[in-house]
Amino acid sequence: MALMTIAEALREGIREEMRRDPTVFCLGEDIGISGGFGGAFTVTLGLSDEFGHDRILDTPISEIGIAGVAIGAAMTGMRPIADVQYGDFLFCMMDQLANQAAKMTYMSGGTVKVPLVMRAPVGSTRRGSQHAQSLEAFFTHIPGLKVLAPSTAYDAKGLLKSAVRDENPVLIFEHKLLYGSKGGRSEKGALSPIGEVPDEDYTVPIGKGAIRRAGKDVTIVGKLMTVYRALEAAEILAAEGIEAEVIDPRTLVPLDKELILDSVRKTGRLVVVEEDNLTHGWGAEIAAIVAEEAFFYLDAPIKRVASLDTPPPFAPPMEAYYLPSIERIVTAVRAQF
Amino acid sequence: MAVDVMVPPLGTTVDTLTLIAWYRNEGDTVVKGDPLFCVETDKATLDVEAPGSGRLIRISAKAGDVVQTLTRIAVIVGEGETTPAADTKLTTLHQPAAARITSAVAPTLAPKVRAITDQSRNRILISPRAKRFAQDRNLEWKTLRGTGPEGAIVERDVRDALKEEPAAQSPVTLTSEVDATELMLLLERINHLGTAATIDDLMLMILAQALSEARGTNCPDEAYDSGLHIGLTVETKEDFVVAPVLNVDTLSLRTIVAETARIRDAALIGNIDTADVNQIAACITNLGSFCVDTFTPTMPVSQCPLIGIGRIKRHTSAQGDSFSLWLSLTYDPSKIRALAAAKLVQTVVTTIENPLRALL
Repeated sequence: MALMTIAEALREGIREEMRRDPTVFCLGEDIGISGGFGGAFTVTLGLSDEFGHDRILDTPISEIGIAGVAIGAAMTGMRPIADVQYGDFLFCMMDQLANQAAKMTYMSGGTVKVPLVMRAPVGSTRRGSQHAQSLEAFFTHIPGLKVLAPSTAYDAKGLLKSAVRDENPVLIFEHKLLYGSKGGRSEKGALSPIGEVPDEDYTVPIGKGAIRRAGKDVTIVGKLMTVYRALEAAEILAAEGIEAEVIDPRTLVPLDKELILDSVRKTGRLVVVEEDNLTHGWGAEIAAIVAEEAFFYLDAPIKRVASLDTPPPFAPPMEAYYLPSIERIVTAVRAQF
Repeated sequence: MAVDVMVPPLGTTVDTLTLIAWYRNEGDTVVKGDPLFCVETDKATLDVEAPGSGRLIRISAKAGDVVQTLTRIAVIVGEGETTPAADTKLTTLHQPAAARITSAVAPTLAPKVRAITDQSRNRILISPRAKRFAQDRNLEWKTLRGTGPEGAIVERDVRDALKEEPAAQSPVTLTSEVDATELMLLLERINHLGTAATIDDLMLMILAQALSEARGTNCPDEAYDSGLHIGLTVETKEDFVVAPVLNVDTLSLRTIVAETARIRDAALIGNIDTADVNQIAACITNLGSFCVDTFTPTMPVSQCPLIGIGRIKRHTSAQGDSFSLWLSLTYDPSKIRALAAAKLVQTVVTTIENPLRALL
């Protein structure tokens, strides 16, 4: 058992999968160049020393090129792990992801597999509108893609290994403030949770959520950074006598619905917290599932806490105002009592 | 004085209503407070009461019409009063008329209508969880006060209400062996005069007097609001049924005899009216003719004391015949105080043993 940051856990996961299976390789911008950071957030740091530049493949700055190479390689027997420098750049790849990779297995009657992994950093970190979005929800709406959102080191490594071994395209969203990136890539205001990671081979199953804090009065569902915001809100609420249960679905598609429904059946209240903007979002989908399947257990209207319906602002005070703060979570929970 | 019949103002969002029905016709005599007509909003229907007593005239809207609030749709005039002169088109009165009417009619009409309006406009909010919780426990939630978001009734309100509900208590029965010699003598003498009275008739009279004396202590005062009614258990073809004898305290013994005879006959042909049974102040069950000496009476109405009368026994001795019976009183201790129940037994027993007391 070792203590690791999420960036370190991901790196170890990639290393172990590349050692285990020669068809696994990484590609992305600046992920292996000598003297570089190991990608934008140090995840692949040092891997080219062990695996060489043929398996830690530096690409031109072309997201369309990365997606095309990765999807094509996956269709023809390789297991690529593509690094998207900032999740925002996934929009450049939309046709290849939504129209090609996601549909290929369906359109070929199951004869073509696309065992692709694509890792994408998300979250607002004072980088303005085009390097700060949380765009997981876009991809949860595309049938054929699996969408993961690990928030701990243990889950990051375990879910990455499950993703590499999956026969379908899997997107892994990682939050910039949770990586624990060091040196020149350390982030101001980062939480950088450090967690225990087993030395032996293990996987975290895709489709199983986790209860991060048990409580009986209200269910708060968060993902990535908002899991931690929810946990902090829960401590404030506990001082007021409200025991919140904090749920981290860990994988958004497929979703561990029963974990959420069981919790709401117990508590009677639901608050969904996400860093993406509010309207037509992931929180709305969770709210709809609960309203449809646990309506008669609800004791208060469901509340969503999300970023505002604007692009992420650049100015730090504006960004703080835009994001779902701990105070907003606490206020939303209080309104349910 | 003539009173205008107005379309009630039902809150700020309702301008027009649909008149569903008149309950009285042109020319009918109406009494203030009687349901006069029925209107429908987009949310509910409600009855509007007659704002005065007299003759209903000048009806100017018919069932199915859409009518403007605060307009006049009829007039009620007193006996012998002349019809007011036709002033304007009645259903399309505007501001000046509305103002006049508000001052004339508001004292009687407005408060009643407002209460209904608030109910129909503001739905009672209850969370799905609380509603399910209450229904599972047969709790009437509509009267609960909500403390949740937007004033909604939430689970904790239902839980609190359940805590306040008094725990169901087992009924308590008091029994007494009563000397019925004087009662039997009285019965014999009365029937010599040409009546066909029964023990039950005398018991109704005795109990009515005892309840009048103890008014308010045996059951809530409201039980007497519509008169002192006593239930009598009578036979139908299949079973027993409790039939109310109304206003017993105002009836002569001759009338009681006639009334109980009528009830027994009606019960046997299944033509009994038990509608008033919830308003009875006590109930008498006599199983003496079934050779039952003593028993615990039961019935669905638990708010009142239940009197059980057993078989009358004759005791022969050198001094002459004497009679006795067992009397029981069953009551719900959450509704009736133990002392009140004991006193009622005492009064009834004393009166049976000295029935002249019933004449006082």
